[in-house]
Amino acid sequence: MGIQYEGVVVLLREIYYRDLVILMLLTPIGLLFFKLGMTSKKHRIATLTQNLMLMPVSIISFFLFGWFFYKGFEFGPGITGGWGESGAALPWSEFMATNLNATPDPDNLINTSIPWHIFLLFSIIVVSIAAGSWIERIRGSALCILSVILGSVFWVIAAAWGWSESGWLVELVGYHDPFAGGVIHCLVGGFALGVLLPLGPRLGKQREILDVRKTIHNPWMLTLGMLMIYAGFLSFYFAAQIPLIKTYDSGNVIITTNIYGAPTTMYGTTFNYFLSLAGGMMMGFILSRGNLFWILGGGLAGLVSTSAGNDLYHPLQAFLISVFVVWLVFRAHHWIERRFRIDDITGVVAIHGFGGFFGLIISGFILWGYPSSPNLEFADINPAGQAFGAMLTFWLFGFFPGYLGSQVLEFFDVLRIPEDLEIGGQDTLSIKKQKEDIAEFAGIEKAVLKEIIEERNN
Amino acid sequence: MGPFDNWLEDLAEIGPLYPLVGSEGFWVAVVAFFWIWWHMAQIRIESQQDREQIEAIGELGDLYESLSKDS
Repeated sequence: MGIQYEGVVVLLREIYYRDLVILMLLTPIGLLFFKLGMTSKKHRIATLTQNLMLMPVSIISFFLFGWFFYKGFEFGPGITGGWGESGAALPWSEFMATNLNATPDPDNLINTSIPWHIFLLFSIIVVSIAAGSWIERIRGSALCILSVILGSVFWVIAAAWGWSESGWLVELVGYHDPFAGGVIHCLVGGFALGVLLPLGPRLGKQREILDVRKTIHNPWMLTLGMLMIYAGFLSFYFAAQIPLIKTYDSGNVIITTNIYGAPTTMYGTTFNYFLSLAGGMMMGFILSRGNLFWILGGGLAGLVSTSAGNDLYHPLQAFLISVFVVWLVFRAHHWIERRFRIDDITGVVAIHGFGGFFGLIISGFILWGYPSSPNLEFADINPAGQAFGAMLTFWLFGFFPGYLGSQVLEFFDVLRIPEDLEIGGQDTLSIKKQKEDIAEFAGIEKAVLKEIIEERNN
Repeated sequence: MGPFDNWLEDLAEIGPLYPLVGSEGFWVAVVAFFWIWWHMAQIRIESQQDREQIEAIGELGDLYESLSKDS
């Protein structure tokens, strides 16, 4: 390819990914609305500020070491190779800034600096999802520390292993997860569960107030948030596909590959996105008899459930998988809540964790024998490989880091807010200050009005 | 101060555009220190605010009374 042609390809891809970063921001914003819709009024401002701080903490930690973990752990290290190209991802590398020597490769997205921004957004999304299950009783500082563990360490390593072109999990066990049903959703569900056990339910849950669990405090915020998440999810689907122009030896030309470099089409995955959404929402409606949380949550669980195979499924297969998995998710959610007293406010464990887990298992059977990668030496997709990936993401990268991390925070007594604060509300001072400000403002208004009336009378 | 003085030379020779090339390790150390300090400061601020809030909430009996009135 000539230099100008390569330049055009790189430029178009830059524009494509820069725009997607903005659209993907809809997901954390939507998650914020979603969480606020599920938060009682006395904790709402605190929930807002605590969750907003996840963003800067994720950004700085992802710059300092998160990106290095992705680039350095692709081959294990020590399983199928060494540290890869991780040297350029170290925070003191001169390639972690504007550098005219950085030459993007038009055939390989991962060699360029473009994905840093995309993966940062993925990290912010990952921690934003997990945070929903702990609201109303976790301390903001604990939330930030857990977010670093999840978003800049464990999620990134799992992505390097199973969600990269040369990941050892793809190479050796044929792991296939093009839209991160495992490395994001299943893992987040496991992590949320790991924290929920030491954190415990909100006060009152142990007193059998089971029906209060899914109290929707603001249905408009919940709906607006979830619709924004859907929009962000679609842009995430696009971000997980690499637009390029590649001519195969056979003469076939493709313009899109999945994250493993294997051919797919954006229109096909978009078909599957919408059919999965439809199946999940419809099943959520039936199971919950029209409950708003489960209609919207069902749609999300439906999307999660097919993410391990939506580059290859037929749209109607995606629809039916979504219907089936949402049924499983709904049942599993209520079972673990009752059986283990899990107070998962936004349903992260079930919607993301179980949705991703079951989706991976099913994809292993339906896609059995498909090549996991264009590299002929890599293992084919198979049920054992997908099940292994599901276990690894849920337990090793999700549950255990979450459980151990929150146990350490619990040991230092910085995991949970004091009981009086939980009962009285974390917004007590904010509301009091707001009332005082409004009263003071009304007093000034009254004085001004009095002055004007006196002037006119004179 | 700048690593180059001419935009017209071979751009590949210019390389990094930021000032003080070679001092990146120092900036990383400063930022890492600030980042860890920030987490500790957050814990301290939060604990102080929690105490103030609990004071503002007052006795739980009073809270119960006010909730009873509201309902």
